[in-house]
Amino acid sequence: MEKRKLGKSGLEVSALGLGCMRMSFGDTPTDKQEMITFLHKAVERGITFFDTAEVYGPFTNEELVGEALEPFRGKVVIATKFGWKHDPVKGPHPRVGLDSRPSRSSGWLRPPSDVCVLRPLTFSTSTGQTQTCRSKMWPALSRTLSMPAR
Amino acid sequence: MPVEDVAGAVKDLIHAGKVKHFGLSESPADLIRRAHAVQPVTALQSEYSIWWRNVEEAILPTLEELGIGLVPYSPLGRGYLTGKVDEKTTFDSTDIRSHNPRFTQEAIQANRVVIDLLEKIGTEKGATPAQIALAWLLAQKPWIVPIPGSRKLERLDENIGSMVIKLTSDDLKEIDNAMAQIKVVGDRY
Repeated sequence: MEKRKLGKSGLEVSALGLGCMRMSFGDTPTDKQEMITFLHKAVERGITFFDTAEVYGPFTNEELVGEALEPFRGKVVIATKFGWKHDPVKGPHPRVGLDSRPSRSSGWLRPPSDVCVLRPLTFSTSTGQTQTCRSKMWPALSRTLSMPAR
Repeated sequence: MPVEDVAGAVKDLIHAGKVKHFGLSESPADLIRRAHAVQPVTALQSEYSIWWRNVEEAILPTLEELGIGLVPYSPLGRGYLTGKVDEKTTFDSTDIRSHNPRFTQEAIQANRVVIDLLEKIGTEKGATPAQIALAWLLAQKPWIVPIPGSRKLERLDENIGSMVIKLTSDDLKEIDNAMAQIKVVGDRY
């Protein structure tokens, strides 16, 4: 399959990626095992670029994509999106504030995700304080750093 | 929240080995530029397709200048550009299209002209409307990687088939001219 480079980064992926959202979000429900088989067939066909997000599900889409693609670690690229704090009812939501997602994501998305996609425009802190993203992210990241690196 | 802080946080995560690249989604040109100055951006993910082309004005030139890839989502217009949706199509309440303004009966009927165009080009090329829509997108820039969503193998294979369809500059001009005459009905969200 034709490959393409994403800009000057040197990251090379199949010229067509696969959007995975509807495998677990925004459409009629699917069978997880069927979707894993489907993702494997996509890899067989030469697709090496897969798109997911924390909010798809929430969480279940990342879990699906991570589980299905684990056998192909290092051979495929997963793009995910993170950044919103979790509301117990609404799930990840821009109004709740920022979150240190990539730490958790690298656990669910078993291979470390290769592209992380942010939506910084919609970020806002729940308290209205001008706390920076960096300071909000570090505590949770430090916790994860003590875990075995994936 | 200054985007420099967000980009700085991702820079830290990259150094920590947590993620490998930095991407943005649906960001305006000035924000991409500011983020890129702190941590080089690998890809922008934004909606782009034959019937939603807002990125062409300011975003594509910025990405080209900075060397950032574009990952268009909904390259098939949430399925509409496959030509398989008509005014009789019903959407389950769990399907996000059930409350999308481009999937009202009125919009579905009015926008049929887009499918007619894709079908016309498709007949010339031996391709489906979806394949023409994807081939059109792939022909725009060599650093564009569309991510059509799919859950069916036949649809995935149809999409992959778009890669062998080559649109000439005359084909692209014909599509551009025809689309310029069409007023697409319904907001995208």
